[in-house]
Amino acid sequence: MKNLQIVENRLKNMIVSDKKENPMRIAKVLKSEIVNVLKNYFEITCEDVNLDILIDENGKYDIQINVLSRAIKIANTFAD
Amino acid sequence: MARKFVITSGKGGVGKTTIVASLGLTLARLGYKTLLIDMDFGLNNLDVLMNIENKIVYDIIDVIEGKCSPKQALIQDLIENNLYIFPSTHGFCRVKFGSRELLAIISSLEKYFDFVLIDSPAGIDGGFRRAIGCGDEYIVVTTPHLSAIRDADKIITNLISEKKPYLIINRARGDLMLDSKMLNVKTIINSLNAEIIGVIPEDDNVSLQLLTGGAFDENTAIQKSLNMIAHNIISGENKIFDCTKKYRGFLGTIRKNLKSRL
Ligand SMILES: Nc1ncnc2c1ncn2[C@@H]1O[C@H](COP(=O)(O)OP(=O)(O)O)[C@@H](O)[C@H]1O
Ligand SMILES: [Mg+2]
Repeated sequence: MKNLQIVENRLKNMIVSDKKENPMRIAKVLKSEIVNVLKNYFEITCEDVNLDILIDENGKYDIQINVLSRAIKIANTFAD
Repeated sequence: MARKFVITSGKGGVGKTTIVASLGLTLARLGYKTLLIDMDFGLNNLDVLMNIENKIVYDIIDVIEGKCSPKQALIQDLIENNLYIFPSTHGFCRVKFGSRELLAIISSLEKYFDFVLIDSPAGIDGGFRRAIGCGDEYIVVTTPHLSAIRDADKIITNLISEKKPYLIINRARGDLMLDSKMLNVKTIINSLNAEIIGVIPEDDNVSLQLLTGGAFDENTAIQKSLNMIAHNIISGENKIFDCTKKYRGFLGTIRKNLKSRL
């Protein structure tokens, strides 16, 4: 019983510390930042943004961003 | 359009290829047209597991080089008519290719199938990202061991997906879990941010059975667990195989004690 508890705690600690240094989490953050910028100009929500990070044949990141919007925001938003 | 699952893991050797093969056989047996694709290039062994390594005429490289169409490269399973395998390439890759080429192949084939199961390499390098770019649903495989669960968690955090990934716990030993000698299913589920879709018990016959005679017998524990996973995939329910049941109650306790003496 006691041993299993130790293993469970080790698992929890590992998972927490691994999360602090995760480079690909960038994609999730990137998506919400894109939405934040674009929604000043277009009617969009998070669901309208498709973000894919692929690897091309040369091992480079191929960042594909596809956004669909129903409407553009009216001019008075950026009048000044 | 087919539902496309990428079967992946952080740690190697947790049973991805075994699951792709046996779940493919299970879905095909239930009447669903199923395609298996091996994207663990170089370390591929799905063809060996499916007993088709001598039937390969064209492989993925021939398709990419335009020597044949994707459909011509397909190999039908020896036992299940609904099951097809798209052969990978052995050893050294003559050409380089990314997710784009693979996606083109898959999109030309998926109209013939209900399910596409993609066997991905372990880890989070290029090969893994190339594979995940090809599917739209993900199944992360882990065993109940600490290092495998930790690596599963890394994979789950790295999956950029609209849909929460599914989780399969493979090689579960109910006797050890009951005796608190192995992390139990509940603890593993609570540790990982994925939706459990199945638990598969440890079974000594796994390697031999697949290599010689296709799917497992219907009344074996392992096939019951696979049937439940297939059912969950099809219906969206989530009935999970109870690997401790066999070792509970009067007879179960005897069974468990006998096993611990082995
Ligand atoms: N449920 C199981 N019970 C017993 N052995 C298993 C089970 N699942 C997989 N194995 C064995 O584990 C080894 C690794 O499995 P494999 O499917 O090749 O893993 P991966 O594709 O993740 O590297 C194989 O020898 C296989 O027979
Ligand atoms: Mg494998």
